[in-house]
Amino acid sequence: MKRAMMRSLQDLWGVFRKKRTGIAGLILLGLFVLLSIAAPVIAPHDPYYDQNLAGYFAQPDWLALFGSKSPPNLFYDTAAVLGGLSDAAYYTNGSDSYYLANPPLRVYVPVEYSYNPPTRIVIRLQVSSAEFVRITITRPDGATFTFIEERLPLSQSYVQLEADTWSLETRQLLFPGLTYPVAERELFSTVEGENEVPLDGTYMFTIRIDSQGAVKIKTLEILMYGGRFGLLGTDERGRDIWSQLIKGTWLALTIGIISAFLGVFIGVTYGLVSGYLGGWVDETMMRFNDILLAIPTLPLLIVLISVLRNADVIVISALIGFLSWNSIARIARSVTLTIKQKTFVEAARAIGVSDTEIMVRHILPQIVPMAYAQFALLIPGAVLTEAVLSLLALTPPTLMTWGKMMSNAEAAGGTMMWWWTLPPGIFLTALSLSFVFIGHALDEILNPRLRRRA
Amino acid sequence: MPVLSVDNLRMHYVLEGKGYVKAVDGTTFSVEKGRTLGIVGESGCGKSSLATTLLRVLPDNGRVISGSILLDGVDMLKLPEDVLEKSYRWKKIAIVFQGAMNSFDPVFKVGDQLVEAIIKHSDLTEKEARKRMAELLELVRIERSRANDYPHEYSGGMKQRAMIAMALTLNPQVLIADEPTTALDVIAQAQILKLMKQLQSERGISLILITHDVAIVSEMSDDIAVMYAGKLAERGSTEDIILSQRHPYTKGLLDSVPVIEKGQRKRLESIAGTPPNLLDPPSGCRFHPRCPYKIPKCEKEEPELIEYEGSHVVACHRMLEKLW
Amino acid sequence: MFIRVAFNRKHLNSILLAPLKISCLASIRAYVVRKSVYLLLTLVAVATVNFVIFIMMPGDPIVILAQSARLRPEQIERLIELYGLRKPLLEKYVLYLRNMLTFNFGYSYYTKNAVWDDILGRLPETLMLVGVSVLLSIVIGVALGVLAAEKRGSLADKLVLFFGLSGYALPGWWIGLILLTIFGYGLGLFPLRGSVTIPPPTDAIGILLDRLWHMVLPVTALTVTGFGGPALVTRNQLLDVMTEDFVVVLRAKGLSQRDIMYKHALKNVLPPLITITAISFAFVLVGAMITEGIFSWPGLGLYIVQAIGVNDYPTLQGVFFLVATLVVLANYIADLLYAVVDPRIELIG
Repeated sequence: MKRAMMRSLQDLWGVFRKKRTGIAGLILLGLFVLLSIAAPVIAPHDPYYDQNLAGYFAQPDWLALFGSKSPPNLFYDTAAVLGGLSDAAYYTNGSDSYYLANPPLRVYVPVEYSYNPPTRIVIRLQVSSAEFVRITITRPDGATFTFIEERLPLSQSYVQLEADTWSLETRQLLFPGLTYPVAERELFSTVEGENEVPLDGTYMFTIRIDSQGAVKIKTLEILMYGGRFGLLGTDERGRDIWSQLIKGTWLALTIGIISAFLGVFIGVTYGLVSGYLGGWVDETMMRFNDILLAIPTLPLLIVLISVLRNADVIVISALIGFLSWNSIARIARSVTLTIKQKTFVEAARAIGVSDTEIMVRHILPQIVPMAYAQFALLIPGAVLTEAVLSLLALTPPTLMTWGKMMSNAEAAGGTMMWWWTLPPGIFLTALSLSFVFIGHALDEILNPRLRRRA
Repeated sequence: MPVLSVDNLRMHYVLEGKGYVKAVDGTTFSVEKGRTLGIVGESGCGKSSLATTLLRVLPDNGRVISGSILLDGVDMLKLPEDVLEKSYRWKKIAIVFQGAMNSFDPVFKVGDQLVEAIIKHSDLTEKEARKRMAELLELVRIERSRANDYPHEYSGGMKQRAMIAMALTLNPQVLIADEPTTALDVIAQAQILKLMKQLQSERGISLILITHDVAIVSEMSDDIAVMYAGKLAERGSTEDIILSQRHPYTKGLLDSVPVIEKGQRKRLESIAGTPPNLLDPPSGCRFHPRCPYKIPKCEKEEPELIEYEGSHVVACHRMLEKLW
Repeated sequence: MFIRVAFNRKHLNSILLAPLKISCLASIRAYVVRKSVYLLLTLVAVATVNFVIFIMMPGDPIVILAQSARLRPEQIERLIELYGLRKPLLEKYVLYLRNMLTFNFGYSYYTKNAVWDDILGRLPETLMLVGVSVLLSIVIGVALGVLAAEKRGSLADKLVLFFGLSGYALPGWWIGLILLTIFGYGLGLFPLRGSVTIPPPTDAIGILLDRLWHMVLPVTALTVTGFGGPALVTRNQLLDVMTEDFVVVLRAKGLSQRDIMYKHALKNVLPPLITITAISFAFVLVGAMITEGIFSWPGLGLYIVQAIGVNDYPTLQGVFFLVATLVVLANYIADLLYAVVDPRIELIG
């Protein structure tokens, strides 16, 4: 049987090659598979857990080419801040690495800034043996604001200080009386009449550390979170949309293939057995099948999954698959019936070949080609169904599929952010289209009536 | 002047990627007014293709390559489609297909389908057309009331007779009957044949009877053309063909008719081998692989259709020899 | 989703005619009876599935009712009585069946009303949307299908094939989202939510126009994905018919391809068209339920979205049962129409 299957596969490929829709579908699918494989390289961030990569709702980086003044991330890590200083030297002592500096320490970090205000500023300092710390920022117009100002208890262990424009404390320090989060805008723009105008120029961060003796600085970083990031910006938690998109490919393929496989497997088995056994068994099985066929799957899935919350990918795919086998069973059965009538089946029976063997060795290979077409055609349905389930928030939040992306976008009110809402939909459509084309081409080959009358 | 005259007709089907199926590969024959031509041959020899070609109702992948079909002196192959639709099809030449074919649209009543043909080609009112249709049904011995039935409610024989009635609606000059009696039981068969003979004598229709059944053709036709692998093997009057056939294939066909006569105990003869593949027919004489009388020449050279005696023409290298 | 159903005419015929063929000479009355029994059986099956899910729900239903619902105590008692929550399994099942089949779905955890009342309030909105979309889908789909079949192999055919197939792949709600973004938020041409403006216009024409204006975007979204199926089925079935024997006879009779296509072929594909209408109805109905959320259309879809948010099981099950009923009803009506249209299913013999 294997050899017969191989030969028929080759024949199938020979005819399939000539169908343009099929080839187009195949190429498209190939691209997606490539994307899946390349994912770890081209889309390095985790779609769910890598948060705060930039500000929330960041724009794509390349929008700057079109005149967007959205700021990029400007991150100054410890090495950037302290590395060039002559007063500070870097030491490593086993697990502990730090910069040793002599008092008084004054670090100046100039930042050329001509963008819109950043979305968030975080300053972190880990220092030991210090007495007094003050970190301020001076604007191009001369105004100075304080981020951190603290008198520290003398201690050999590291003390951690942090300023975050998103925290009330920091805002109060910068602008006493400012309760709502617009510290960044207050810092980086001025008010002229009715309008808020970004203030361009050089901003100076001044870090002052006073102490008795040498101080050990483990961390000193200034993080200015921008409004643009990556190829497709960020979502409502600052996650990389591009990574979500690419990694979603793999998820979509998995869900599609598992569901379709289950659907075809169950359907073919059911139809084959029903058709082969014939008689009232066949009739009953088919009646049952038709009844199930009439039940709309999506609403049923909605009810099912609301009950089984937090089902994982496998369970969801399996459920979708379990609800999709009915139409395939019908087709498998009709093919079985056609073959059953051929005399070689009767002959085989007469010789004493067992029923199972007849079904598997003789009838099944004829059903397989049809099954390929159905398999391909089931996948878009499964992927789209999962997308709907995600849209309705029925899938776990960590399952970042394309549907989930669109759901997040819609829920966060990001409908205007077309770089967030369009790509997942386009990818979803494209992937579905590829399978629809492949399935349609296969169907055309296997359904002789669609050929020209010869 | 013959009513229908076919000269060197060539037609093939295009099989995508595989080549051409040469279904009709140079046939020539003619039919006189009021006479019957029988075209015999095995299944797959191109007879049915010939029928559809004559009416120019070929499928999408059928192509006429060369030749002419003169109906009443006009070459049908050169006529544009709309002229064919308006003036020729059904009006001058009609066809009755095999009983096994579904010749009627299953969702329209039989009577309506007959009326459709009448109205399309004449100026009769609906009422007049219905009257005409009832007359035709009567002619083929179908009750008028059955006109309001659907095709699936007719028996096989009835359908065939209704089909004949439909073919006659416009009083065509030529009627092609493609296997009219296959798929019918013997009694229905006899009825149909009798009917056709009667209609022919009443209306002077020229009948082309296409069949594989030699017995029918010998009974019904005035002339017989024997087809093999898309070509004519032999042609002549019925007497000529039945009594003094000269082509080994014709002999084989005639011999394979079972003889049920008292005292005769003859073994059932058949022609060895199977009909050739028209996609890639044998070289030389197409019949040579199966011919008991073949000589080396048969493999290389294709025999031409040569006059044997008067209107009797044969295409065989050994036609002049007394092989049997 | 409709990709699952095979569109070969023989299969459609066998789905509907199988019960007929097996029991030979059936008269119309027997056919109707048979289909009605089927209808009932299917509804029972759906209710049973619902019941299984109901049983599967984690936790003690009485406790859940008491806690999450915050219903009034008399409502809770009524529910316990209704569902027979204190009774043995079989009785529960029978009671549940009875409830489902009489559309007695209990009380919504969210709105505190009887689910059925809530549904009745929202159903017309959904049906309006679905009705218009299905109508448009069929009309456009069939027209395109005929065009494609007539000009087989041409660019028009290929385009119809392409867009028809795309209908299977496009998420309708995404189209809705895009349309809303571009034409609603972006260009401001259409309303952003709801089915009527508040306050609504006072004159009849005004009301009608206002409703139509609100319907444009959602109906477009639903139709864009809905027309594919009818278009493809029409095209394929027409081509199927054109390969039949009797078409050769029709051509021999002197009818033009156009005549044959429009007069004979179309009538022959009427049965599959009826079937695809029923399927389209189901497809668009399910699609509408999701698209409604995008447009805040006050129908069943929005209701479901809210219900999911608060685990409102009675509502979810009730709506599911209703939708299933509508779908099965549509198929049932299609079956009956099928018998009217196809003379072969009439009194045989």
